[in-house]
Amino acid sequence: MSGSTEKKKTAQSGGFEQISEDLIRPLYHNTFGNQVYIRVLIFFIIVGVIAYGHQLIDGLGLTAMRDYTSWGIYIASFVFWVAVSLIGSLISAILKLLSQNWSTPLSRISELIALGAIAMAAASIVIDMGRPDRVLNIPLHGRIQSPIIWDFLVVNTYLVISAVLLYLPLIPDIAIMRDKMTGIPKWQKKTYEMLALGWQGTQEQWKLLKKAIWIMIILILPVAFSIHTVTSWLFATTSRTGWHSTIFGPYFVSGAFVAGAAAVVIAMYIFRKRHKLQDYLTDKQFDMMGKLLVLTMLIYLYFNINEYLVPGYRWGRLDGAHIHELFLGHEAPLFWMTQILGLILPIFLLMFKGMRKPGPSLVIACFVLLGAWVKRVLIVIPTQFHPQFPIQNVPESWLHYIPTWTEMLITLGTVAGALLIITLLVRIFPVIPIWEVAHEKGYHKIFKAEK
Amino acid sequence: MKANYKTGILTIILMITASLAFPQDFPDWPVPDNEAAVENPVEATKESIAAGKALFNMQCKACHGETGKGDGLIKSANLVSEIFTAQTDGAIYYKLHSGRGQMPPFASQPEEQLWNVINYIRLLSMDPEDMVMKNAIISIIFDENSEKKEVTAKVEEFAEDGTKAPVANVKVNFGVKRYFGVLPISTTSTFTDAAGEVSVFFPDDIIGNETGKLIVVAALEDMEYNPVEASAEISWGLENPNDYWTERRALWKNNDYVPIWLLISFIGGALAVWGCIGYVALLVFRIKRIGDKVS
Repeated sequence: MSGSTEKKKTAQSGGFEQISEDLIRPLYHNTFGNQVYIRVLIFFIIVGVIAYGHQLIDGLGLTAMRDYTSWGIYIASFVFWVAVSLIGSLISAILKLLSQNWSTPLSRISELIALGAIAMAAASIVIDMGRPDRVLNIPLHGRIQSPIIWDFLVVNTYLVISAVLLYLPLIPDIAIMRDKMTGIPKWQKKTYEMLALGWQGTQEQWKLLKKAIWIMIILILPVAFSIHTVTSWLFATTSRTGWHSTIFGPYFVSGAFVAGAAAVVIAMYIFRKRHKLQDYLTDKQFDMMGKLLVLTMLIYLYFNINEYLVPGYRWGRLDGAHIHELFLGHEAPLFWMTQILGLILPIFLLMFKGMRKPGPSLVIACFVLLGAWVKRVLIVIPTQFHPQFPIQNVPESWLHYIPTWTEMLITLGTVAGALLIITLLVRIFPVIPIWEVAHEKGYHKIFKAEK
Repeated sequence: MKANYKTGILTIILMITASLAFPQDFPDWPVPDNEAAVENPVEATKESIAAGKALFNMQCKACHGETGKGDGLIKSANLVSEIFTAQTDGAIYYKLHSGRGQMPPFASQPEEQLWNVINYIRLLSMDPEDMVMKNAIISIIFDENSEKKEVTAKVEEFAEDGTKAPVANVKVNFGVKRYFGVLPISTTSTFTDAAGEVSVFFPDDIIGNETGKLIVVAALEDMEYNPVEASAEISWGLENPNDYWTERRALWKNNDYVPIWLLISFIGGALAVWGCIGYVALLVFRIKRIGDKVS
């Protein structure tokens, strides 16, 4: 861009300069703490990769999975990651379509979380395979009737859509950084130049970009709903107590929004502190996210009541055993801790305005997110100990499931993987969409041709 | 710092290896002298070994493995090891009869059956190199129009002068081909007679295809002869009137029978979504083209 346009732009947009400066500023600071943090993540990923290498060589026998528990924490994590990834569609698509302007600064955070989470969901599935070299057999030889094939398709589709939906609104921001950022490494400058696609903000470019964004926003809705509904069908289409439920689709989707909203609150708090974004991620955003969390948790609670009350009322042979195990038996401490600390108490607390302030909501969101992970474990694993035929004359190790070190280290590696994806992306891209926030604040004439 | 990191990794690897816990040898299983001295009253005839094999496959194979090496579903004794084979038949009988730990007692089995199993186990530890296998030929004989529905298998071998000679006293298993294997139709011990022949009556409740046709299989199973089998199409089966589901598309069937509605919605949905993604890629490409032109 020439110097004269630069000047004209400044004059026209006023506060826009301030906004872009505020949001670009964090990209210059690579603090010592951040470097240590990235190395810690890489360490955990390396440990996870070593553990996985071990599992690859010696086989899934290294896990605690046996004949009865053939799905362990890898699959629970897979469900968790899919759940968390759904937040990208809730905030970027649903709230946007409902013209909830307060959510504009959160859209990129939610898309980053979605991308990191869905990438790890795909990874978790492969990790769970005994012979990952045969992964291509799924699309090549799978039965179209199998929900696993549907899952394979939607997970990959959602991965692509998440990446595209992250990228499209970034294009004008990348152009801003390309033009404004000085004194940055050459590779970074080159990356911006390449990814900005020669963005000049002409009227025609804006028209095309807005069209593309709208298509993706609408497209992500059915795909997001199908990815988690299909994930629930992996369970619900089997004839197993605790899984064969007709409401599993909406049960999973509503639970997903709870987990994702909690993840956004945590990320919001961290970025606000680290990037000093108090003017953009204000108490208003925390207040509204708190309310959104209450709404999603109430819906999830409603499905929980359905999910447990109806089979609990029927008390069939296996249903009864399963519910007894969860409510009063072996799993009861974990179950009630999850339900109370991760669902009921957070609903109650977040109803108070004071609890929706940044600090308290961070603590509550951490409990909700941790509860969401444990809940997935409680959905996936206990059911497998209640097969149609009684368990008889089997080795002792088949009768319980406690994840081995291998499983825990690999799972921890995926957590570090998701965090690393997000961390590296916010190192080079602004965590708040610059142009969208500028539009929100009324500074419309950012680029020369936009009138 | 580096050393710590390495120690950490080592510890992790050690922990994983330790969790594998190598199987230990089994503790000694003493047998009273008088029990060990009992002699096997059942001669190791082909009949005895065949009966022993049948019982072994039903009761022992799951844990001890098909070849008796102790490599079945759970850690179990190796039945072909020197320690095991050094025992007397009486000692093995005592152990089968009384059981210990995960090895269940088989006291409820008829005595003769246990001796049969012992005869078969003895065979397992024989070196296959020492067993010279001969070749035989098998054929199926039947009269399709006969009321009796009798299937006969004839086993023969080539004598040195090139003429065919019947093979007597070898076991032939009869069965009917099904989708996933062979359904046995001979339940008694079916050994060939002096003429090398053995017959079974065809059961009248086996379902064939829509015209009642099915494939009968006769397989030679003997420790002196290489396995060989013959098959023949016979129309003695019941007509299968219920071919409705074998020709119909359904959710539970293979890819050749995908329900049309699913095919359309699956492929249609995938194409629609990926079509949209492709269109967005086109829009992005156009944005870039404009950018290139402007600059």
